[in-house]
Amino acid sequence: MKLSETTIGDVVVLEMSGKIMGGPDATILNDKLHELIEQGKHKTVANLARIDWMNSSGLGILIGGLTTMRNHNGDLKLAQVTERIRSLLKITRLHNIFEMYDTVEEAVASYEK
Amino acid sequence: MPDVFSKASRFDGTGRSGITIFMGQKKKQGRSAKQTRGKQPQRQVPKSTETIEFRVPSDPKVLKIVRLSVSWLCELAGFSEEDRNSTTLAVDEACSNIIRHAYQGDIHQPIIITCKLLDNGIEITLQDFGRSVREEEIKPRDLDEVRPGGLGVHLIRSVMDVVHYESNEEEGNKLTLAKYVRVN
Repeated sequence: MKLSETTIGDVVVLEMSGKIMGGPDATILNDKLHELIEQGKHKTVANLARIDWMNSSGLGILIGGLTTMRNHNGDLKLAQVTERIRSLLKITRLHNIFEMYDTVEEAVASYEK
Repeated sequence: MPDVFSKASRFDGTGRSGITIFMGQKKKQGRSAKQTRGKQPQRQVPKSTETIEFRVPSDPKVLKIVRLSVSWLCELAGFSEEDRNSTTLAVDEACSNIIRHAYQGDIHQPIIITCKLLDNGIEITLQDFGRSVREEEIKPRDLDEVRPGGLGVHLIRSVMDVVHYESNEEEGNKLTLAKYVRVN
């Protein structure tokens, strides 16, 4: 998995690409989120448009990220979730746990509500 | 055609031989997926002759090859893209569980994956020679608990039409998965 970030206002958009499959991917996201928390940035959006594969370990990484952010009064919202990943989230009933938006702009704007 | 399957079953226990692929016809056997427990046990499953067998080491790095192969076989079976992806995911999850639980992270042990193209789908058997898994470990967990871990079994059971696990000293652990082409 590759991770880059863009800041829009006080929201950090994490552009994720490739595969989310556990192992080192867990550390990459976890380290980034803790770095953001230390900087006082608690509002995050994960853009999943360029994720081409995710397994249950990858779902676990997202759950871990969500828990970390919510424990710090923040959130990890999802944007541009592909059909394949949306189906995984539905099977595991995680679609009720994550806030999901069709676009990054909508996800960022949702923090203003 | 030589009986490549008996050759494949001569497991030397080292797992060092890398990736081996056997293709061909397997002798018809009496047992079929219809005899296994699953969501559609009543369905008539035709006996298959087209079989491909992979023997891969228990190394997560080779799972990409397994995924590509299974996806291609699902395409041959006539699956939709959605079913191709979900079946590939189930096999990937099953292999990951073998590596993690049966072999406890040892990447040099063998996993034998036998794929049978059925007239109406695909049957995939994953065989390993590691620790047998307790029943509670292969039960899907309560999804109301929001936490990482334990989702793989739930995914496998959700997307496959047949899931059957058996374990004995002679043949090791065998997980049989089957998926049928959906008729709209």
